[in-house]
Amino acid sequence: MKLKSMTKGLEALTTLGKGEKMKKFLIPLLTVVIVSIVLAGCMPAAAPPEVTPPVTPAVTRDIKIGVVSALSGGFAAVGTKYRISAQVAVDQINELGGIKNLGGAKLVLVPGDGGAAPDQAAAEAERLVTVEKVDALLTVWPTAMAVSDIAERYKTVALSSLTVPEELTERGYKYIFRTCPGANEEAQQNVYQIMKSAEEAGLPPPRTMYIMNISDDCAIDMVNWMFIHAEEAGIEIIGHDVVDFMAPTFVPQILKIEKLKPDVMYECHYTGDAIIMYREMMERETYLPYGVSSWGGGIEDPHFYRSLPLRAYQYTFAQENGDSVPQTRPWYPYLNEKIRAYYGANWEDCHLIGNYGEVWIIKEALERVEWSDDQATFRTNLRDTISNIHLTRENAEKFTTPDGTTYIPALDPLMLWDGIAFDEDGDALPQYELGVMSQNIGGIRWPMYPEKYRLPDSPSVVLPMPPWGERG
Amino acid sequence: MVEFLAAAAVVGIQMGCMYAVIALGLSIIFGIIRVINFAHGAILMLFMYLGYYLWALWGIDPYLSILIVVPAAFGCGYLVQYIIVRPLFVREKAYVVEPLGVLMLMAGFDLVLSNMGLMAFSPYIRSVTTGYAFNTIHIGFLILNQARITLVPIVTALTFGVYWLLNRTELGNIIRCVGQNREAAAICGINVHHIYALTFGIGCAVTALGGCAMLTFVPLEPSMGLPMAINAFIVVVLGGMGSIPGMLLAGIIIGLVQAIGAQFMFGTYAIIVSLVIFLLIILLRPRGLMGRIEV
Repeated sequence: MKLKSMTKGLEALTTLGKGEKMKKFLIPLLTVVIVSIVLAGCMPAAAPPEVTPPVTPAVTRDIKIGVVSALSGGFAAVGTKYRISAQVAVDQINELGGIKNLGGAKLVLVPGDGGAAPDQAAAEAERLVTVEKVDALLTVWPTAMAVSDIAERYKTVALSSLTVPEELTERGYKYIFRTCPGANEEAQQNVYQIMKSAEEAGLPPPRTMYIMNISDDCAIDMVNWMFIHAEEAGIEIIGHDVVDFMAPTFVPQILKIEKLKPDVMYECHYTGDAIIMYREMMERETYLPYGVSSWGGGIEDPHFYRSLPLRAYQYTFAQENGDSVPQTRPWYPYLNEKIRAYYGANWEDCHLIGNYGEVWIIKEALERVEWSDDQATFRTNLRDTISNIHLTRENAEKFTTPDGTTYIPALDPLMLWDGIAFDEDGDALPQYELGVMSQNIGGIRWPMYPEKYRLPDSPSVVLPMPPWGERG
Repeated sequence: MVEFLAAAAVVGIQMGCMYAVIALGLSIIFGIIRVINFAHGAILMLFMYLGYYLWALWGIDPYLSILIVVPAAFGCGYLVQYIIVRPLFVREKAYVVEPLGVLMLMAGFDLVLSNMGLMAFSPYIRSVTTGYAFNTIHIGFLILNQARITLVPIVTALTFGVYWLLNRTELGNIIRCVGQNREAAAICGINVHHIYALTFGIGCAVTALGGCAMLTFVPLEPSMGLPMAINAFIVVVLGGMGSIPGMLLAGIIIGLVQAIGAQFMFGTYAIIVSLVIFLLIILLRPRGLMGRIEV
C-alpha cells in the first residue's frame, strides 16, 4: 500500500513536469530508487565487522645477544663475572618461556673475548655482529669505547656497564646506552660523601686532598672530574700521583702522603694494586683524619678483602657501581644459587650482577619491539625501543622466585629502585641515580649515600678515622 | 726531607732486589746461554702458583715450599729445554749460538703457559696471608715489611751462589763455554744439549726460589708474568749479558731511581726516567754496567 501510494505520488509529480518523454524516464528511475531505500530499511542489520586479534609474528629464530668482555688478560677477573651475570639472566628468561612478544623466541648469549686491547674487542664485536649475527651487544670496561664504534657502524644497540669515561656517550652515537654512572657523576658522589660524612660526624669539612690513581683512561677521567668537583667544594688538591699498573710497591707514594698530611685521600686502583697500597698504609699506619674515598675498582672485588686483615680497609669509603650488600636482599638466595652454578662461589660483588639487569632491560625492550624478518630493520627497531623505553616499578616485569619473593629483574638487582630511562645521548636520566657510596664498618660495606640507599639497620658514619690500634 | 729520601732509598733497594731476584734466573738463561726466554715471566707465575697452592691446600709455609717448588722448577726447566727448545737447536745447528727462532718459540710458549694458568687458576687475585706476612720492623724512622726486607739477604746470597757456581766450579766453566760457542764446546766433548737443559733448569729453579720468597707480598694473577719478564730483561741487559753481579747492581739502580724519583714526580714518570737512564747507559756502554767486551 505504501509503495502504491508513493508511485502514484511520483506520477503526479512527473505529470506536472516537462513532457511525456521525461515522464517515461523519470517514473521508472524514481520508482527503483524508492524501492531500494525501502528494501534497505527492511533488511536485517549487517553484522559488525570482526575485530582481528593481534598476530604474534612468526619468529623462526633465536634472539642473540653478544657480550664482549675481557675473558683473558689482566682484566679477566672482572670480564668473566660480567659474562656470568648475563648468562644467568638469559637462562632465567628462557626458563620463563622466552620473549612472548616474539612468539616465545629464546635468547642465546654469544660471548666474545675483548681482552684488554681495543683492537681485539673491536674485532670480537665485529665478529659477533657480522658472523654470529647478534641482535644486540653488551659491553663492559675496559673496551666499551671500541665496541661502541662497532655498534654504531653496524647499527646494533649496545648496552654498557662499568664504563666510566664520559666520552662514551658524548660522541653523538645513537646505538650506545650506559647503565652505570659516568666519571662526572661518580666524582660528584665521592665529593658528596666526603662533605656529607664530615657534616654528619660533626666535623668541619676537609680542606686538603691527595689523589693517587693508576694510569688508565678510566682513572684519569675520574680524577679530572674529581679535581673539578673537589675544588668546587672548597677542597684543595695538595698532591697527586699517577702510578703504574701492577707496581711492586706504593711506599714511595705513601711517603709523599705522610709528608704532605692531607685530610683525605682519593684513590683509583685495581685489585692487585689496591691490596699492596692498603697493606702498606696499614703497615706504616699512615693516618688520614677523613680517611680514604675510593673510586671502587679493586675494593669492590671480594678477593681484595680475602687478602688483607680488617684493619687495613675498615672505615674506607667506596663508590660502588652496584649493590654492596646483595646478601641483605630478598632475591639473593635465588640469584646466588644461579650464580654459584657458574661462578663456583657466592655472589659477593656487583660485577656478578653487572650484565644481569642489562639483559633484562633488553628483554623488556624485546617485549615491546616491532618484529621484522630483516635483521637490520629489527636491530634499528630494538634500538628505538630501548631509546624510548621508560621502565618503572609499575610497568616492568616482575618475577616471583620459588620461595615467593617477588622482585623486578630489570631494576632491583641494579638498585634502580625508581626505574630507568635514557636521554638522547644514551645515559640514564638524571632522576635515576646510579651507584652508591659505602663505608666499610665491621667488614660490611654499608650503603651510605645517597641516603635513600641506607638499610634500616645501617650504622652511623664513622669519622674521624679511629687510630690504627682501634681498627680491628 | 732527609728522612723521607732515606726511607725512599731503602724502598728502592727493596724494589731493586725484587727486580734482581726475578732477573737472576733469566740472567743465567739469557745472559749465559743466550736463550731468549720470553716465557720467563710465565714460568715464574706458574711456580709462584705452585707455592701458593702448597700453602692454601696443605698449609706449607712459602719459605718451606722452596724445598718442593725449586726441584720441581728445575725438573720442568730441564724438560722444557730438552723437549721444546732442543729440536730447534738441532734443526738450526749451523748457528753457533742460539737461533732467533727460539725467541718466537718461547714467545708462543709464554702465551700457552699464561693461558693455561688462566684456565687452571681462574683470573681472580690470590694472596698468601701467613701470620707474619704483615709484620713490620722499625729501625729509627724506617718502617720495613719483614718479608720484603728478608728478600734482600736472600737475593744477595742467591747472587753470590750463582756467581760462585758459574765462575768457580767446573760446571760453571762448562756452561759458559757452551754459551760462548756451542759447536766448539761439542767438539771438546761436552754434551751441549744436556748442558743447555741443565742451565735452563738451574735458571728456572733460581726463579722459582725468588718467587717463593715474594709470595707473602705479591698478589698472584695469571697475567702477572709479562710485566715482570719485561723488567727482568731490562735488568739483565743493563747489568751486562752474563754478569751476575752486574744484574744485581742494575736492579738496585733501577729500583733506586724509581723510588727516589717518585718523591719528585709521578710514579709513572719515575719509571720513564729509569728507562731513559737504561737507554743512555746502553748507548754509552753497550755491554752494560759490568758486561764483558766480546771479541
